[in-house]
Amino acid sequence: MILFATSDKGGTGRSVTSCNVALRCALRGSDVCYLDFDFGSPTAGAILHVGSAARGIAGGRGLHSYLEGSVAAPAELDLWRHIERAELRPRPAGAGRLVLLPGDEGGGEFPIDDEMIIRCQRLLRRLAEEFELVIVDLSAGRSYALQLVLEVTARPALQAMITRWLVFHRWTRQHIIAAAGLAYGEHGIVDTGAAKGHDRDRLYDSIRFVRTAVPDPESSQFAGLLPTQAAWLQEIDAELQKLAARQRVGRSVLLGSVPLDPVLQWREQLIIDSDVWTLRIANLETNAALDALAKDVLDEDSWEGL
Amino acid sequence: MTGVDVVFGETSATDRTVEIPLSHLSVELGHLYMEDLADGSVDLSAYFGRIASWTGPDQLADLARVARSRLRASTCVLVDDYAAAPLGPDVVVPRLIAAARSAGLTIDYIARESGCAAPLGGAGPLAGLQPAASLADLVESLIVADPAAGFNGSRPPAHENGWLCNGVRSPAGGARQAMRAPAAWQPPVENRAHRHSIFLDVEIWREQGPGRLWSCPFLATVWQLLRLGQLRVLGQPAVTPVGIDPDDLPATWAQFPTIARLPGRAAPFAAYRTLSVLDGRFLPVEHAVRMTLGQVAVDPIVAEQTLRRAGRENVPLPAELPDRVGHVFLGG
Amino acid sequence: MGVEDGGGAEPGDAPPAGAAGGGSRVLVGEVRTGLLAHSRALTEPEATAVVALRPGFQVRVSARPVPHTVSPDLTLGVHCPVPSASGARRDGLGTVLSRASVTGGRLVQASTHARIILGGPRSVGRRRPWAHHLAHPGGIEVGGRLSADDLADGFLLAETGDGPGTTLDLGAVCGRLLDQVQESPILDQKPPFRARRTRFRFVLLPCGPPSAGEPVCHSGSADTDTTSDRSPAPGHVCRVGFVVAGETVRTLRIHGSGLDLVSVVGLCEDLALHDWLLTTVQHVVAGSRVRAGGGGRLPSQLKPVIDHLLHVWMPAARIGEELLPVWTGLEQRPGFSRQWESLVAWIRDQLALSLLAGLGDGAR
Repeated sequence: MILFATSDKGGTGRSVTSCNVALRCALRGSDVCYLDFDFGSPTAGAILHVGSAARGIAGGRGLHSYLEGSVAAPAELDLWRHIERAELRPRPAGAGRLVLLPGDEGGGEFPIDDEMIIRCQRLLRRLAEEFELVIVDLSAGRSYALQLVLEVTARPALQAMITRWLVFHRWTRQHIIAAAGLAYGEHGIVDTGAAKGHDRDRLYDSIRFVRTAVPDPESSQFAGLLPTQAAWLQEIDAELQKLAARQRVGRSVLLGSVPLDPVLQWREQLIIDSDVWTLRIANLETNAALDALAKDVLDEDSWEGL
Repeated sequence: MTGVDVVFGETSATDRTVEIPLSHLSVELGHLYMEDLADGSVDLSAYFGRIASWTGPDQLADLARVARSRLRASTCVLVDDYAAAPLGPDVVVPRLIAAARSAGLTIDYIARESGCAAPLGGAGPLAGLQPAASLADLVESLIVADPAAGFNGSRPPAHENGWLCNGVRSPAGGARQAMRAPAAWQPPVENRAHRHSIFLDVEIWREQGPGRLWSCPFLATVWQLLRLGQLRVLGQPAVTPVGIDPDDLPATWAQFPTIARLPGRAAPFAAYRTLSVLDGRFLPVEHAVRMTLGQVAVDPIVAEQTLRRAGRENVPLPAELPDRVGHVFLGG
Repeated sequence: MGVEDGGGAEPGDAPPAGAAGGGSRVLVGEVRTGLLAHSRALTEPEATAVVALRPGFQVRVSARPVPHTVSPDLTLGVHCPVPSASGARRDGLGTVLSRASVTGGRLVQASTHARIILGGPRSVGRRRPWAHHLAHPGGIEVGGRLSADDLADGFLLAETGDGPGTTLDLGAVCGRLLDQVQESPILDQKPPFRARRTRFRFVLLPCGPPSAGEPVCHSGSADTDTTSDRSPAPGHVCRVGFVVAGETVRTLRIHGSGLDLVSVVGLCEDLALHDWLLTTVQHVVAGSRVRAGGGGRLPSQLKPVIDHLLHVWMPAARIGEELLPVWTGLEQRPGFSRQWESLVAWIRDQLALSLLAGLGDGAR
């Protein structure tokens, strides 16, 4: 499966959540690779604790160079060798492969030409041949990266493959409306995709949403709230649920929710068991939510047509 | 127990490539545009008369590098019917034969240019197969472009659709990443230029309607390859000459064979070498033909068969295709 | 002392008249192997269509001992420095040949090779026209002095290939061809399991005393030096060095003389195929051991291996007599077949256990 991670706005925690999903899927035994298609700001290396590729990879062998045609294949970093976290090295027993394809250090956004589309298609098809899960983290909004992958996935060689979309959004009024717009609105994913030759219904059915930084009124975080404050929180939440349903981003297309968590918000890094149990800096709920997300991503039932 | 030497072979595992009969020299007796024939502006007898003075038996034997007594040479004319054909074979063919005869020349074969672009695989051993869309498509797939310095295989060969050149084009202002400086102009360069470049860029085809419109120089390249006997389709000859009766000619070129053999004791159509005697106005076309031929890689088995046979016959033959092609350009 | 061409695929390939006498020839190549992107084994006509990469050219098909279809050769022109361990930049001009094949309807390979002819004229002005190179397909003529060992070391020890750089990149040509085959519309893009591609790089050098660079004792987990004392006869192998250079990269260095280059390429394709089988099955078995379901249940990952791969193992089936010593040597060390049999035995045991467990369940 090729999974495209996207969001309308920046700051949704799209990249950090996708990286955590990649890690967890690999720990569950799947072969996973992660492509940093956030071309304007290739920093997946930083999230994944790869110091040498924190701002993209040096030496002109990242995804930018590959898509522009100056290298025959982009660099692939085996994360079990490059992650700078002792708990994850060497490769945990039973884990699948986990590979990062970083962007170029200093790489920027670029317009798309035909050759680039062919190269991108070739790369994604090859990776889907070797990996059970290929996560492509796209720049936020209606970007060149989004346009490129919509073009590529409409090509015959990729139409035969399973391609799916995750739209990340924060649990706020603005973000709900923006996410729905990106998926279904004018020049959104479905619109643009259909214009490029995608089957509209099939594309529509392959989109799911992930809510991030969701405050959970039941959680211990909010234990000290006054009854009036708690009631207000409940009320807002209910209103947002209604709004989401109206915008067609309600529960039926919800793949997961990730709670508000300072580790995700501030450190923007992987959360692993030792963070939860030894350091006690990440919330148990966050850990459970990421686990559930990783499980659901690979579960065919979550992607059943509506 | 004695060792038994088992030889195992599967016939389908080895390909079979048919050899075709070869003359020493294929002589093209001029080339005329269809308009020249249609408007009657060319005095055909005088035209063939000038060609005849360059195609005497001694001259041909010399060019073929064989003794005159041994010389096998065939003559041919290619009719330019691809773009437009106001006149049919029933008009053109008798006129050509008569004019040549008046100059003392015999035309052995008449071919039509449109045959080089027509669908393949109709009859004979190729029936039912669709091995290549046309001879032109087949030859296009044989092109191995002369690589520019620095081409190391890491990228697919740069190709401008439908064009072939002998060097490196001026770089075009392509897409660049945001916030990078634009590139400055550079001249084109001929590969292996002798001090200075003579850069040549040739149109091979252009999209037109539902298909491709092949260029005249490219169809002329296909024609040279046919005359050199180098084209095979799935090991079979790509085209075999078909005998025709000059007294019973069709009215349209579509009904005319790709290569027609006129009655008489003609030597084989294809030959080790070719000679084309042409008006000077065809020099640019033939320059393009030579450049294209120099970037065509024919089936190595065919190439080897031809060289080996030339060796057996004691005919000196260069391995490089452009070196087997000779021209005489006539002034006005 | 050059490796002489067997002549099989090099029509009329007399030594180039102008090239400095004694210029040695080195065959370099790469084979990439992977699992075909299709849900079931291809039939012979399907496999033929998948590798029919050139209009008008025949696909070679053989049915025994395992169905095998090979594409016609594809030619690509190159003009760039050839690899060199010492960093010498020597320009080469010529063509590389590639072909793709499907084996057992399941495995796909692309292979690219070139015969590098050392000792040509240095200056570009004296270079032959391009048509000369097309008349001798698969040859790259190199200007200036470069030793065969320097070239071979540079080629075999190159970090990854595919990278930025200016030297000859056979790996990129080979990888593109494999992609092209895998993109065929005939394939449904639903392989029964995921498998990594492997890269197998090889060189064929003249027989001669071992040089400083070999037998290669870099990182490899296994290497072999098969020395034959047979007297030099037409078509024989002197030494072989095989190195497992990483999870998916293998290198093979053959010293021989009078060998048919096409057969050597065929041998390397066969070795690469079996090495891929070994690597892939080993990977699946290792995963199953960790995640074994217990209770005698057959680990689910093993089923596709049993269904699709076990029967493809057919070592040295298409190898000529003079090259058999290479296989024999590799059978002694690292012992391809020995390792394969042990993996197959383990899988069979798991299968037997699961059958017994199934019977037990039925009896209950």
